[in-house]
Amino acid sequence: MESLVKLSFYCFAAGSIAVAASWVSYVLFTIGRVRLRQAELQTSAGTTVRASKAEFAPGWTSAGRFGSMMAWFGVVMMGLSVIFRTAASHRGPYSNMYEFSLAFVFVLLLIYLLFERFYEVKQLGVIVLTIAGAMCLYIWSLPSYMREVDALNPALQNRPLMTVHVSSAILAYATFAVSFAAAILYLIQVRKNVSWLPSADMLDDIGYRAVTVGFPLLALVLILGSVWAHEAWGAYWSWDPKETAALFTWLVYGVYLHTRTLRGWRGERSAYVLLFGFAAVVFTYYGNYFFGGMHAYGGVN
Amino acid sequence: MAESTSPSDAPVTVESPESAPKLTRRQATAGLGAAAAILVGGWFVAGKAGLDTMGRGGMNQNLLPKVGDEAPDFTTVSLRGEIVSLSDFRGLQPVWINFWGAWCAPCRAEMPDIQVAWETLEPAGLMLLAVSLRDKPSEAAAFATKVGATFPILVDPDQSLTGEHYPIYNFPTHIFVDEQGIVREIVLSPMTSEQAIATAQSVLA
Amino acid sequence: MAQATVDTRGSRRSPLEMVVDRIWRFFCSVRAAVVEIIILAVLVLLGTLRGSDAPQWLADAIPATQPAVDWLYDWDVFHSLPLMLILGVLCVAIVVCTLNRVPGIWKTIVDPTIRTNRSFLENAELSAAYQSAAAPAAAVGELSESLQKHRYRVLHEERGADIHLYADKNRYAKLGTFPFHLALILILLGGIVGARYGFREMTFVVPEGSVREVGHGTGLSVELIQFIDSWREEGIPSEYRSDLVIWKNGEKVKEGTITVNNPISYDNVTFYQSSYGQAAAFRITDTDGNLLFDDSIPLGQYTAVNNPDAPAGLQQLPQIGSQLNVIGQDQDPQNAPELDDLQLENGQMFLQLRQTADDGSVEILTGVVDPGETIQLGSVNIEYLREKRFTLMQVASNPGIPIFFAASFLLVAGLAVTFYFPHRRIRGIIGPGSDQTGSRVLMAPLARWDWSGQRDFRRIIERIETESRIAVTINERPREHAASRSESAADASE
Repeated sequence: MESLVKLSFYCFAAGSIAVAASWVSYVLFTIGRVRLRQAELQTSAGTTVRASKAEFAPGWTSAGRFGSMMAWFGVVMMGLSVIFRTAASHRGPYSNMYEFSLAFVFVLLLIYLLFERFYEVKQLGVIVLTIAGAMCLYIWSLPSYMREVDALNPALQNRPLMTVHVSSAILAYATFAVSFAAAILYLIQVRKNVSWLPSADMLDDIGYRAVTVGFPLLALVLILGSVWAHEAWGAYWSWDPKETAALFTWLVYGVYLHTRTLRGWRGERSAYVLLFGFAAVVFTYYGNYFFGGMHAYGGVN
Repeated sequence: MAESTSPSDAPVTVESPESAPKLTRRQATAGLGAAAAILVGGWFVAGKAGLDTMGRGGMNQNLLPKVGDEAPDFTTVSLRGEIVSLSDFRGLQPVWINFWGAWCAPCRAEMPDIQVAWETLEPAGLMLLAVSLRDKPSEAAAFATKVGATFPILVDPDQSLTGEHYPIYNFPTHIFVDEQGIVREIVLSPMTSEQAIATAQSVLA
Repeated sequence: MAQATVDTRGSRRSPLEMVVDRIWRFFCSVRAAVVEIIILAVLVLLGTLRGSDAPQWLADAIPATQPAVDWLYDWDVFHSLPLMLILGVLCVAIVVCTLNRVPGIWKTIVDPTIRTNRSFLENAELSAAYQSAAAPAAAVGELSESLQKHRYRVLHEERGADIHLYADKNRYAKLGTFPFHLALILILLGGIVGARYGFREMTFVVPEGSVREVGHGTGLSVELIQFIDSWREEGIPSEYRSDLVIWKNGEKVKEGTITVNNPISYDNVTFYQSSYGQAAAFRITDTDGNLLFDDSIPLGQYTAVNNPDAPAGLQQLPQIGSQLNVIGQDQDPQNAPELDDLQLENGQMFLQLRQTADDGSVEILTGVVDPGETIQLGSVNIEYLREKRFTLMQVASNPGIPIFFAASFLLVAGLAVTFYFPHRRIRGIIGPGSDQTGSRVLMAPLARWDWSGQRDFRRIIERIETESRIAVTINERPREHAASRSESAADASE
């Protein structure tokens, strides 16, 4: 037990460094291109967009590749951390914000890397790794007693249901983070028409695909939460603030899915809805800090 | 794959260079090197953050002696003024230790049941030591008289005499020690007389 | 739908018909749906914020907002009329939208339009063309085979010298949106059924060894054999458990144990472990020795006026027109001596018997009693047997639950089918080759604004290229991004 908790923490420490290294690489990958592009423009002012091919200096492609490698390494480390902790606690990562956030970083990196592979673009990495890095900092800032595995009070002990409920939440939040990254790049792309970013259509599609994964998952989170509330309290919906915050988030993404079929909303306005949706996700994620109610656990009170 | 027809096509061609070339040897070496460096760095960082002291908190705390271990000795005073040690009974009698307090409602509620169990178990050769914690001895005595408790009641008002080996955080706590002084059962909840008798029988056997 | 067809066909429309038509179209509109969901979301957000301190922070930062913040805290959004209204409107919109869309979607599934035209294909964002050595009919056969390998259904029909082709996959997944949307209505329905035909008792208290009636016309009563709280050695609770016996009309019908998260049910009535507390057992007789009461009184459900921290309980004694109030020891030593005016010792109970005489006058008799002791108050003898414990359960009967579970399944399944099996469509025209030998194939996916759809199409074309060793020309007509911002997808056309 003791050594598993230690091992988990060590893997998290190594994973954090990998995330930091990956973030630096992704930044270099993206920033490096801008510099090259400017240099190119100064020398040959006549050719504007054709010159973009010259942006791919091998060095910076390496930076992107190194970023991916470090992100994969981070995934492995964070995954091991979650596995060791699960082995130590015999339950899913849901007893406090330390565990939950640890699992979130793992899933976020994994989902991002799957999207990176599927779409063969790396530029989203800058934003996603920034979120992952911020989450790592947040985890490090949590009080150290949370790193210990605590016993759960009886209300949280419904293990299989709780584990699926929380895992779906983590997956949903991670996919929404990816769609957020895509929406930011989309807005930059549409406004500035930046040659080094993926096409607006592709970014739009990434944002949409991520939501199509996350939206059913968030529905599942709400439903499993209800099932669990039904078993624990005899009421499947009690307007608990964390429940309603998740419902609000779900409705925002519901708006997004409808606006995409709508003249005048599709494109830029949909992308703004995505930004807003992610704000709602953050609000729901950290809701424990300012809500009372049934979700006021996780050692934040 | 794409025909470039207009300048706005450029983003499409942009995507290809990343997927095209295979990982070079230099890139792979750099990745492996960085991974190794991170594994070492992680050890250093985790060490700085207190890796050595981790893993003993939360549910991994070891407070009470474990079942199967020898029960650590303690010495305290009974309400009648006798000095009583757990080791006094070793080799002679199994002992049921009940940590309680007259201030604790669940402990009070189970006292009549404990008395019933005691009346059955005393003839069978069991010793019951009811250690009152966080109580004024006079209050413990007053309550014991009211409920008609006839078993020995020990007092340790500030938990200084038993607290080292028996740091009790929940009341009542029952510990059953066999004749050889080995912990056989720990019950961290109130008990009915039937449960108490059944548990004690296993220690007596 | 019938309504809509009549409206459109009618040559002279009455004002009523026009109004109905307007309303119908309002409920069909995606734009209206978006607005409705936004209103619902805003209400949910307000209700959520109300459950937090966040609005107060706003008021603290900007004092002028204090009245608005106070108003928000006072407004029970989740049980308010606007929320009910918007939910009602959404339900109607879902039903109307469904009725409106089902026939069209059903037609796309069973009987899609195969016919297309060259300029549509040539002007598509993405299209593919190639020359085949085979005659059109044979070329269609080859192409159909390739597409079928990719799980496409292929339909074609001859139009003069040309053969028009339509291929799609995952066509039934298009229906997924209906179970999903209907599930939303079912969930609301489940809530209404539960509220209308069920009941929920938040504090159902049974002391150890006592029997209590559930009421609500169930004929059930519950006996608590014992309540056990188990703890971990560091003082964290590990389990709250009640051993119960359920009686129906005086007959024992079920025995069982409940813990937190593990309720038991009988006759659709479910018992949930919720909390626990202390109780005291009394035996009350009148002076003739007639038994008036022999049971336990739970403490802590009430508080004494003078001493709010002391657990208190009360028991009616209808036989003698009295009420017995019991107050236990104040556990907070800081309250003595000002608040804790009773100064009870451990285990003692303070008793107060309120006897209402026939003339309406109230006589109050008091006394302090030790465990095992009997006290005489007026005309009754009260024996305080011992302290006990009680369990606090929630009891609920919710006939809406099966509806809710069914709806949940429909909801998630509908969403998953809709999103994970996107409907992909390809149109094409296969005509004779330019030199009258072989044929010319022109194809385009219906994938406007749809990068993934286009990518799927490219992949299929690549496969056809490698398998049939023919050169395919891919033609792209990207939309202007500037233009895409103002004018956008023709949603209805796809």
